[in-house]
Amino acid sequence: MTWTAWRRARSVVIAMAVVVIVVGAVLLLTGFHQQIAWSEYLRRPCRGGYPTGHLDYCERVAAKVAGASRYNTALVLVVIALGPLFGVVLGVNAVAQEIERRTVRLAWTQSGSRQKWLTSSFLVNIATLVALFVPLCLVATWWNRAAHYAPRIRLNGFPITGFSILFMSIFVFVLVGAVGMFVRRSGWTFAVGFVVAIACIYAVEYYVRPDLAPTTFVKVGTSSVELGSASGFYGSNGVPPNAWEKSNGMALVGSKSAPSAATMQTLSRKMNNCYASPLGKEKNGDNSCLRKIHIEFFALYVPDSEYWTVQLREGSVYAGVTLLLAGAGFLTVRRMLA
Amino acid sequence: MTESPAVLEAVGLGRRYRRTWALSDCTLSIPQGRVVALVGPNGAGKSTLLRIAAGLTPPTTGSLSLFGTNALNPTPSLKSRVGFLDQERPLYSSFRVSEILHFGQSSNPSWNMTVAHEHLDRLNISLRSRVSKLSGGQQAQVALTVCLAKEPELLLLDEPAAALDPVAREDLLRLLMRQVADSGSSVVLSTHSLSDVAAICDYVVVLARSRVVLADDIEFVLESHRLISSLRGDAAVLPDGAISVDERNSARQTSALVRVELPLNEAGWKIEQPTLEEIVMAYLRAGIASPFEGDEVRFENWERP
Repeated sequence: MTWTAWRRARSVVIAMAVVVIVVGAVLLLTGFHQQIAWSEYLRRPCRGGYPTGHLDYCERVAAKVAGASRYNTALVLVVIALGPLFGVVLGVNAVAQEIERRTVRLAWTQSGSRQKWLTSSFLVNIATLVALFVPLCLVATWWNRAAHYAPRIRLNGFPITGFSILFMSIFVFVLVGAVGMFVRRSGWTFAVGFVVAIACIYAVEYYVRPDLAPTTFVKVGTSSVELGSASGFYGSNGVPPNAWEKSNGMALVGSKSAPSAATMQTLSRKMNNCYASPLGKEKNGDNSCLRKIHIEFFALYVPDSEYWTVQLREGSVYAGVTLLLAGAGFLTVRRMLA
Repeated sequence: MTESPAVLEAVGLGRRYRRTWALSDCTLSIPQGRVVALVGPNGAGKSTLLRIAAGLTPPTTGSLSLFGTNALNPTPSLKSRVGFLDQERPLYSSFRVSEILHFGQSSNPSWNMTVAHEHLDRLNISLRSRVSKLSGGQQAQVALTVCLAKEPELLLLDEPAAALDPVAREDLLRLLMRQVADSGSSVVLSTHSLSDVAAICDYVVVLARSRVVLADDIEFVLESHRLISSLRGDAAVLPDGAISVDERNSARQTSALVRVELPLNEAGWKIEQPTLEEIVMAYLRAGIASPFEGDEVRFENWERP
């Protein structure tokens, strides 16, 4: 059955391997190109500002960096999309297509059990995803660094670094396999599976990952306070480079954690009122207001050193849900109509 | 006649799809070593019965056993004793024929590659051919090869000759007869061709309106039915010992296909031996008109005289 599962997926896997090789090659080429441009830009004389005598040269080097990174956003979108896309395609091929083409009637009337059929199918396709995405993940992680694209722990850097794409693809594959057992049509399974998969990935990124990361609470010095708009004030100091700043704002002096949104709004309103008052209009009025209202600025961030912890925890979440879906699939397949 | 043990036994078997019963209250016992024809109009429940027996469709009601073992959740060892050919002949279309055989070999411990090669050689089907490039008939033969090379004790064939040309059809029927003779396998095949039934089958099951209306040895079925007609046009009372299966009255004549339980009193009746086709057609007509539903006549439970 393992051989059959592989033989069924073979042509799709070859096509996917070609796509991975092309995307990997593009990442390598653009990565090297940007690495060279950045190293030139970060060397003297341009490093730390453009000296008068080298203005033209530095502007030329900066333009070179900008030119080399022109397609970065599109490239990152392509790399991130490959995970769910390959997962959906293999998931549809493994289950929904077999049901739609009635080949399950051939497979399920041989001497093996239905569970064995599903196990073979899942294992072969998951092994395929591992073989395709491990090299791509390594290249994409290197590219992110070479291209100075984004700090790896932040929202825009996290999905293309580490093994995020691999976790996503395996989760999506099993999810679409399970969806296929109910939908039973390839086209509809593709459409429904893709939408559900994107919704799940979005939910993990915005609602699960922030709670998985061990955060650091830091007070921001008043000298770095800048007046802002919606939240009132913005603190940029105190957060180390390459960290993921989750939130910032005002808290009562002595606080050890970020206040609730409602408290922050109240404090912000008080600060605005004070700033509009005569006290606020005095020299160093903002500091006077802070002392009067008894508040200070804070930032909440996840340092870069927690990157692998977040990767491991998010990977475990995907793995756990994947196992649950696979378990549901094994229960369903026992009594399924062929 | 001594009955061999049942290879397939169904009790009150039924399958409902939403509000429609595809098969209902099917009670049936098929003896070992027979070639059984499953006959009935489209939608009578033939394919449903075969799919339940093959373990593909769970029944809504009733029980089913194969070789005396509960077959509703068939174990791999039970599945290895049963070969199933689906009506739609599903095959992996991107595979070559040799790969289909490899699939069969890797999925079945009892696989006999020699049988598979011999069968395909006889039909001139190349092992290098891709399944999608084969004709419908050739695909049916490849699907049948997968069934036969598994060397099952029970072959369930859903309209095996449907896509075949007359020559291939005859080859297939001959092959089935040889399979039964060589291996002692039992065969249950659904068909619309009553000539096939007469040619190769020795047991017939007639399904109509999702129910079994007749199930018995063909020899016995022929012995126990008569076509009777009378010139009296007044719908005369049937002779003693005759139960009407299908009756036709006109102004000048009354004719009926009857099941006989006693020697018929021939007075006033012309009695003829019907063909199997006439008997099956009478049951199908009667089944479609459903004269059995009201009075609960259960033909599959007839006591032999």
